[in-house]
Amino acid sequence: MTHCMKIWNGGKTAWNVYRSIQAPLTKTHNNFCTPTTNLHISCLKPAQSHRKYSTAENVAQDAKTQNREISALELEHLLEQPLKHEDFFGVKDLVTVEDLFKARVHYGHKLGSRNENMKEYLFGCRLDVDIFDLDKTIVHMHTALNFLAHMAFREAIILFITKNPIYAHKVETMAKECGQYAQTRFWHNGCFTNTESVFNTFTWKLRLPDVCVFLSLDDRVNSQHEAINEAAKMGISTVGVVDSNVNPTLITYPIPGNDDSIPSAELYCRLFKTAILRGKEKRAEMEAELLKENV
Amino acid sequence: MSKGIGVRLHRYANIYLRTKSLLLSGMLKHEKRPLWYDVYEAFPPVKEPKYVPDPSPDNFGLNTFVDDVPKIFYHEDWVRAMLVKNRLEESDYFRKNRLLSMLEDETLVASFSQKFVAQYRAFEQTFKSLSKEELFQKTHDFFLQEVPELNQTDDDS
Repeated sequence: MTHCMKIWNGGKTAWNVYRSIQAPLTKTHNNFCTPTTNLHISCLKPAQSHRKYSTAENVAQDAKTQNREISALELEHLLEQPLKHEDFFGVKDLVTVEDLFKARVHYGHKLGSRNENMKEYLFGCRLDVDIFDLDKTIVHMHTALNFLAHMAFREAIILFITKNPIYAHKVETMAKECGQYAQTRFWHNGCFTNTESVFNTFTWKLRLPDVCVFLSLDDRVNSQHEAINEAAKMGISTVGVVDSNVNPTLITYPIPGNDDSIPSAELYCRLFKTAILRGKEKRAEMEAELLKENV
Repeated sequence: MSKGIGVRLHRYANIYLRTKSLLLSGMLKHEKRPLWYDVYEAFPPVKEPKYVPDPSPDNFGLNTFVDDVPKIFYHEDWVRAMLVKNRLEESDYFRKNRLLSMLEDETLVASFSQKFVAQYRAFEQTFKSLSKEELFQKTHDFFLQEVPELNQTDDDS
């Protein structure tokens, strides 16, 4: 029997308060409101072309500068090959439903915090605690890991974002081990949309990330992370772990699951890392074969 | 999107549809398409992302919503409820045995309620004619046999 309930759509006033408490400006910086950001500085390497986001052209130009002599046609053929296979990187062997259960991925938030858009991913409600349907979660997980592996194969810049201080350091170390980037500190508005002001890119060009991986979509103040809107505006694809209290509709590859437990965060870190490393390894392998043939 | 070319209306259409429209119109050239475009076309997400805004709250900051998600209840929940109601878990013996370690695996070290429920289920399968209350009493007696101290009263009589 259905019944109407009233829930609290919290946090909007608290967000305004939080925003006014900003870090003080340092003297070494210029007059713009640009305190030091924690985007890894080599994530902001100058792009060869005027484009803000990376394209096949950019990557080919980067390859030329690194003296990897592969022609454009060969590169195109190389990039097309993995797309023909259903599971080129063997990503489905990485995780099972039992692993998800042991890592407590099926626990959601309470009934009063539920977002309506998450109803379809829920198995049920056990004593007011939302439980995710792990049969659906595993499918989403496989598609997202496959996407990440393909993007790593294409030498994309992957940025891990989370605002949960429990596993923020773990995410940073994991990103370093993959050779990718992480942003787990205060997010300054305009990092993607207003790069001229935030990073002072008047004299040099910027390359934005190609994938933003969110391990938790919400700020500590019960509101959505600002990077979600920014990435959606700038055409940056997103992968994200969506809990039962967040809106998943702006994420391209959502993974419904728990984002607050440490075992589940460890699982996600391990899976993302292995998927990305597999993509990179395959790329190195196939390029080496091509170079051998050329010689 | 890139400088001059692109749409930032993220609520009206997802990134794939916006880039597709730019490519079809010719504003964005095929060589300059984003890296994820081919991968998205080959492996699209399970559900196409379409923005659905959260409902706006009323004057008190509350939202009305319909609770469609089914509640999870098990057959054994009645037994567990009776345990709590009769306060069997609060007596000294059971409290000592009930001391749980959060770090240990539940499957290896069972709590008292788990043992009780397991015994109840075993009795339920063998004695099918008895009612719920009778089965409950039977399992209670079974555990009391292990602990004759419980039957002793405080008075020395």
